[in-house]
Amino acid sequence: MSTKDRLLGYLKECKGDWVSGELLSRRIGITRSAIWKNISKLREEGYVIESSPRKGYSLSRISEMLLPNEIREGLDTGVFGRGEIIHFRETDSTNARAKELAIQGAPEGTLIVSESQTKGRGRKGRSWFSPSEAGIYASLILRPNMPPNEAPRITFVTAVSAAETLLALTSLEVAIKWPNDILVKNRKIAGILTEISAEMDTIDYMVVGLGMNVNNPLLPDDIEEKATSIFIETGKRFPKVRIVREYLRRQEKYYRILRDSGFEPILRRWKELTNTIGKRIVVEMIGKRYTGVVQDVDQEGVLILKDEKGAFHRILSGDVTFM
Amino acid sequence: MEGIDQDDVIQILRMLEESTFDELHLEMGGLKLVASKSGKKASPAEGMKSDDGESTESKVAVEPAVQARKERPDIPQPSDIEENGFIAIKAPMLGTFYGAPKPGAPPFVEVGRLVSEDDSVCIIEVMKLFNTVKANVRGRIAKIYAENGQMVEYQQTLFLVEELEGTAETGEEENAS
Repeated sequence: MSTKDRLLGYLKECKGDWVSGELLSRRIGITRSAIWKNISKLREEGYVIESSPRKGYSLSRISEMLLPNEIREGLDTGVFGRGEIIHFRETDSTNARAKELAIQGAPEGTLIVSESQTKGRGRKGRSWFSPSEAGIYASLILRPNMPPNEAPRITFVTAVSAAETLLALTSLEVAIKWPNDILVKNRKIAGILTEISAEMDTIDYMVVGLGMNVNNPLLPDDIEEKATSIFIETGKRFPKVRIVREYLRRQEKYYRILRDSGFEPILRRWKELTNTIGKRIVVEMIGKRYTGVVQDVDQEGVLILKDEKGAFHRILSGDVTFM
Repeated sequence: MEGIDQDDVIQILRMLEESTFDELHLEMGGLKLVASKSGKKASPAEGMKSDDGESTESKVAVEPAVQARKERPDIPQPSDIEENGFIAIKAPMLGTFYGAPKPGAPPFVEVGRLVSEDDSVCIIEVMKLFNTVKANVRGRIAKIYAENGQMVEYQQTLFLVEELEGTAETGEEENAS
């Protein structure tokens, strides 16, 4: 453990009480100027530490950033987030970073998080609004032992995990829009984008990207009607690190259920959480557009739409809008 | 409806899709189901009828995944060409085919383009899961079978690659299988 981490640990133990520089110096075994240097480092990482010439130091708020040590603290997973967690202040896209690491051989459970993204991505190359520190941008590397044609099942695992995370930690009314958008009152709060590299019969690696609006006080006008954040819904800032821990825990749980018991229990849970079945929707695809009522999803999660003429369509991808 | 419900219909559709048949006609009591692959209207164009005579007019169109191959007899069948030393790049999963990394971007490959094993040739999407397909072979793109936005089946041939002279001895023959 580094000096800085020991200093932080001690300040956390004091639970916001003042500690003199002299006491810290003795406890950590470094000079008072070294204490000061490390306090500065912690402040740079986003910890709010009060200082007073007479009283010393007091940790008044932990960092709001997704620091690897904060994610690990109290994390009760077996694999996800147990190995390397890579944290960026800013990166182009956490999925892009994760793919690079996966190609270099990063193991299953490696997590890449960033405070902001300059090229956050959604479907069809659209951008995902990724301002500094307000949201969660996290990509998890998986190496599932399954044929590529079963890979879409993982997107349902992720949708269930992300929705349950919000249900467990907040009082928001959360629903999944097919296949894996997370909505609160019909506005998008989180999106999932999964990328795989596969041979014909094996998956080399999979990168599961999650973007979630957490503390965004405002969203740009063009997405305001369609998007929301935890802050907008509750009026309160929420610690992102708690969300990431809970998400990792549930993602690992459902990933294991998928491996041990198959897709049926995942899809059953997904159906309990979705608001899409029975809705009138428009689906837009390249050069095609269907309007109709969602009858169901089949046992692989493919959407079954009955159009106005009564014809059924199997929808594998496309932009779904509720009418 | 008697004896058959929506889940059954979905099940039947899946079975049809996975089968080698193009059309299915099913009659059970007063119910008649006509389904066809490749978006063609199954003949006769009857829908799902319940026995009280009320037609729900349910023509069932499974996405036209194999249409391109069937409706263009001028294009040689991939299996024919493979025997002449061409190598097929096949779809590793069912999904929507994208020839470019994003809308408006130049395509990954065009006919005549040289590719090597690690070059990306297309993306296949299913439910926001994107699979970037690699060539896995070194050669020249001879044919592109799928169009942007088209639904492709698992194992459907997407590209034919002509192996170039001097590269045949690199041990990639097993890809031709």
